[in-house]
Amino acid sequence: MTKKSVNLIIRKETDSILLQRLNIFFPVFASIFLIGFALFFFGSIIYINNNITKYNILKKEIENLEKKISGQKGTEGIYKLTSSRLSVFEQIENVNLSFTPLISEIYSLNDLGVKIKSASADNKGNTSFALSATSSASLDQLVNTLIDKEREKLFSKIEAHGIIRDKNGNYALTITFTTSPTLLK
Amino acid sequence: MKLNLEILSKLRKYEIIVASGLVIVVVIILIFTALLPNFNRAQKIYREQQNLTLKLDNLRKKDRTLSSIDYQYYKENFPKIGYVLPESKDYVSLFTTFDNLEKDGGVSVVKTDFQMGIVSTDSARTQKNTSSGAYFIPVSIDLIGNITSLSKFIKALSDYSGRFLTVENFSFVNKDFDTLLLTLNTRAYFYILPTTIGSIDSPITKISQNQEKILEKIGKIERATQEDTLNEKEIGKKDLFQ
Repeated sequence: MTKKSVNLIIRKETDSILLQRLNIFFPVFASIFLIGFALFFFGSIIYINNNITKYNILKKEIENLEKKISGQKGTEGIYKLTSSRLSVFEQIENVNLSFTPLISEIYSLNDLGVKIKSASADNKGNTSFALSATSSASLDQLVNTLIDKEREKLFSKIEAHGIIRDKNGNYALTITFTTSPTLLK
Repeated sequence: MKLNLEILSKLRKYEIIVASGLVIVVVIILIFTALLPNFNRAQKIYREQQNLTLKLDNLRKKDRTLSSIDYQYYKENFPKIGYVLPESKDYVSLFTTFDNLEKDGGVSVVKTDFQMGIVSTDSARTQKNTSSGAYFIPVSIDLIGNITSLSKFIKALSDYSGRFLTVENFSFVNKDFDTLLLTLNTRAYFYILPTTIGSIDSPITKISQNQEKILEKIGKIERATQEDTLNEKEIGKKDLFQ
């Protein structure tokens, strides 16, 4: 009787190096992925729960303050309307010109022996005045005064127009100049 | 039978990779269905919380400002500001202003021209001062007086004692030794008040120190109320049934 042998142990096939590496890499990657997801997911849930409470507290606080402010509507209205009117005054005052220093300045030229007949000025400083002088000496004095004013930078671009000398020896002329903004305020 | 055995052996060979792949796929699905919506929600809550914090800060500031306001003081002075800068053209208050200035200043108002000779529609006669938001009516005034009284008159136009007027230009003619005929082209202002005071969380602009000074000036000026003026005048029976 011949002996028959049966091989019950299956010969193990050796895995390729790539497969061996993938067998290590894939589970590690999947675990990190899963843990990462779990961390972020539960973190987001905790964040939402915490902040919803804070959000509700904030909302409640805002509602209470809004109620309180609504109760002061009268005060708010009168304050805002007062403020808007006062800001109008403030803005107009910044550009408001009184012209009084200029009027006094022109009028004071009468002291030089000339007679200021008329004068006018606008808000850009364009000024003119008409005068009569009884002598050339008083005219000289006027010219010197005007030159001084130009040096002091109160007047600029001074020009004399239409100088007439009548048979009595009186002079009549018109003078134009630009006034410095300091004299218009 | 042989084929099944082969598949089984292959599965056995790649079971770790397959299981890991399945986990990765499930996690990816969970990221899109559970994690990203959560992140969006968290982001939304964060943004809204920021807005609410800002709103709360504004409301607290507004509440503090409102609590510090002396309501009675502003309530008393508000009508006085309305006299200086009314809501409409209010020609009556302009005449009153000139009358008072004439009385106090020693000048004679010879002529007042509210339309500067222009025949025009109502809208054309009033113009808006763009920088301040107020409207103005051009008013021309002819005055007679000496240099001191005329200067006083000009200053009084914008000293808040009456209607607020500014001078645009002037011209004068020397009438006598001491008397001048002064023509002033002025602007009389009026300001249409806003109809709404804004939303509940709109900030309150604090009245500046300069504005407070203006208010103080206006508040100090005593003005006869319409009732006082009526009491001074003979207006007949106050009660029709007496």
